[in-house]
Amino acid sequence: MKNSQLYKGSLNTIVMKLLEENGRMYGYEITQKVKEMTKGELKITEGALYPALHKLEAEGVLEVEIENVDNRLRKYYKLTEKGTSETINRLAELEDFIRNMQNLVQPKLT
Amino acid sequence: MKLSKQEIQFIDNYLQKHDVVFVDIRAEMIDHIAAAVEDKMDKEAIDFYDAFKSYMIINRKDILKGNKENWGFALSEIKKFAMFLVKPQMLLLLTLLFIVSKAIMPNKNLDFFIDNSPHYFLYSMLFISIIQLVYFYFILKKRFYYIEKNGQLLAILYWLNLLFLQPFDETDTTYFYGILIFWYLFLGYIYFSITQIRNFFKLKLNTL
Repeated sequence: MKNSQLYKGSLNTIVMKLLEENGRMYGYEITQKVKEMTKGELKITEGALYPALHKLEAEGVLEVEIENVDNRLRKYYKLTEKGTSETINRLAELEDFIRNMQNLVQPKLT
Repeated sequence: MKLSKQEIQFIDNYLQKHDVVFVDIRAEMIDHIAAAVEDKMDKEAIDFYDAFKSYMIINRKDILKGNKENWGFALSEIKKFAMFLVKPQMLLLLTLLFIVSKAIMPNKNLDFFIDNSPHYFLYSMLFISIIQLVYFYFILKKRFYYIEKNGQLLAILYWLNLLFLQPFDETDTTYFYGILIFWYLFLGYIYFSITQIRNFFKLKLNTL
């Protein structure tokens, strides 16, 4: 993964956005979805993803459902009400960030 | 290609040998590894053992890294408890405790109760700890990450009680507010634990 430091601060927002769009997802599904959407450019590691998911759960942004699937138990994550409104805020922040970075690194030509 | 129960058990045994002791953490790791291995088996047309070995050679360190982060104090759980304490119903409890305390404090007959509150807290906390220990270690014989982190909150309250709740002059207002705050924290912990344990059984984590 190139320049992982650039993506580090965005992991929570990425997860929340995916859950907003897809309802509920499990950990491996999230990693595969990100890999598919970025054509392999961004690979979220297990060591980064699960602590982020657990932290969001502890903050009340995500809630979990556990189901018996294919001989094991699977933990699905989905946004709470608080998570849904928090996602809107974070996406707005991210949009501002992208716009500001574009202004900084790509000055308009006169 | 879905893994068999024996193959899932193989992954479980592997993680247990690598000190992933918490059942709830391990269950999530098993599902992740199993899903990845199933993918590999489908895409590369290899058997379970080869898929598992090739997956773990690359990802083992990263997967087990998550386990190392689970051993210390969980600040996220402390933060979760702190956020719980400022919920409207908890602030209402604090207000009620303050009003009731102020109303009954002049009653000399309650001095014995108030002076011995720190002891009641200690005995109650020890009792709760013993109940948890017996149920999870001796009856279920399993360790759960979120239950143990919840237990750490109890340990923090225990040490706060020992360090800060020393009875001084019974008319000392600092002592009054100390007792009040500690009752609030203690009752908050009881209520918080009940919600955590209710969630634990709702999610059927005891069946892991």
